[in-house]
Amino acid sequence: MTAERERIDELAALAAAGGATGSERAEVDALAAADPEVRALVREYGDAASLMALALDEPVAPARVLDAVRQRMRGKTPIATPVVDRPGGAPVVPIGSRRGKPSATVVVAVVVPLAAAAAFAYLWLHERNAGEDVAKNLAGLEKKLDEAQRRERLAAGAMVAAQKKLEQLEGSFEWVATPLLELKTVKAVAPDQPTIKVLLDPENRRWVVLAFDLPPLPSDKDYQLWFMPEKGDPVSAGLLAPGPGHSQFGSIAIPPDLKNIKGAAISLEPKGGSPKPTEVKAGGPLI
Amino acid sequence: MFAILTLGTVPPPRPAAVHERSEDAELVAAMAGGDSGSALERFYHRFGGLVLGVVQRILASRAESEEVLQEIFFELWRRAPQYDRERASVTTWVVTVARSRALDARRARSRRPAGQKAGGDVEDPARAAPAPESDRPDSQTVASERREAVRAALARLSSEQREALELAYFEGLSHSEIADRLGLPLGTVKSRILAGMKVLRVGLVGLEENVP
Repeated sequence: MTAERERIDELAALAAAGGATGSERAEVDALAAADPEVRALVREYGDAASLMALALDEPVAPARVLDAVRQRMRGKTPIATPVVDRPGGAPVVPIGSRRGKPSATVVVAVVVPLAAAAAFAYLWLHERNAGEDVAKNLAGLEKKLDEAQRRERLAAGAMVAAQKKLEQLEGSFEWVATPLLELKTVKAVAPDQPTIKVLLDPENRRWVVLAFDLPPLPSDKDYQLWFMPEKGDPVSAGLLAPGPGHSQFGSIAIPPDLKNIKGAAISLEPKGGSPKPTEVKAGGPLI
Repeated sequence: MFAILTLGTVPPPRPAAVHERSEDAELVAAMAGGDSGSALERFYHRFGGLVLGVVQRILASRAESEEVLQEIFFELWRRAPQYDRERASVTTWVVTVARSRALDARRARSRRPAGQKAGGDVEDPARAAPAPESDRPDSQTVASERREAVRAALARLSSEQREALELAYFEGLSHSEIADRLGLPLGTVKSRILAGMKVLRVGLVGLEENVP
């Protein structure tokens, strides 16, 4: 196990057990959000910690609590929960026996607690609303954090892809450092024909092709390069890819059995290429 | 340049027999869809006892625990759309919310003036929930066996590890507070908790393989 992995393992375990600091928990959350392996680790430690709870006796949960939850869902707030029937509690007094003008003491005794209850309810609602606002803000921040982490992952992916591409390009041009290198042009055989330049390494039998001014490539098509031997049909040299300066680019090894290449051509083909050229866009002899 | 974190081999989340039954996630999904009827009722019957057990362990008061129980199930219902299966099993999610709310209530209680109680400690068994299908004797036997297996896994903890874990998990104490309470260096407390968690993790693997 690497030191970094060990540290993450410890953080995840301590956070799951409780008692970790806010910054430790935040670090675990951030790591878990960015990495599925850390998420799996956190999940496993979470399950392990909850064994502490699963070992406890499970009392029967009262139905009245479920009723109270349902009432809250309907937008009603239960007056007092849980409602407990107390043996030996206050006796039930028939309403009829209490009719008559209430005394001032009774009025005070009723109004004051009601007013206090109303004030308490107001404060409670106010506090609850404030709590819900905080929860909403927190949810918003969590969403933003998720989005930022998603972008970071995308950026990291793009960086890796770019690095690979750069390495490929560097590899393609490594062989250019040879005194035998020749620069050729495919001679246009029609007016306004795109320009095709070929860097040719005869010793290593490689071409680097750059084609300029080709029409924009439709999304369902590819440009395909063809070797034109002295005799016989064109031989596919593979697909071109977007290159520097709006060019189309290809780095190609010449097949060992292919001799006397006199020219080259580029055709527009369905995605993935064709065995034979379909719509030739440029071509001619190498000069 | 972005550093790309690699962790080597971490076992993927496995379906946990102890923590996850196939219908749990379906119940949460149904609640997330706004079902406050049968899905909520089944969810309550599935987890009500577990949650009440956790809350009572933390608050040590039946009446106060029932108040918090209501808060917890309301919150679970409200937050069902946010449940992320990748981050926690349903059981762990439920236990985590229950533990947090109970610890909140415990802290709030400690701030209340002395003598002010949240409610009486009277239980009325006649008003307990009617036994759902999951509470039939055969289901209860399975649940009881499962609990015994979990307790056996916990029995592998040393008394020091268990003490430190319980103070963190059920008392909600920070590592520093535990160190003060036990008169130990902070590092020792962390080591005990860490070692205890590793024991539990190993126990968890055994449970997933052996518990019905």
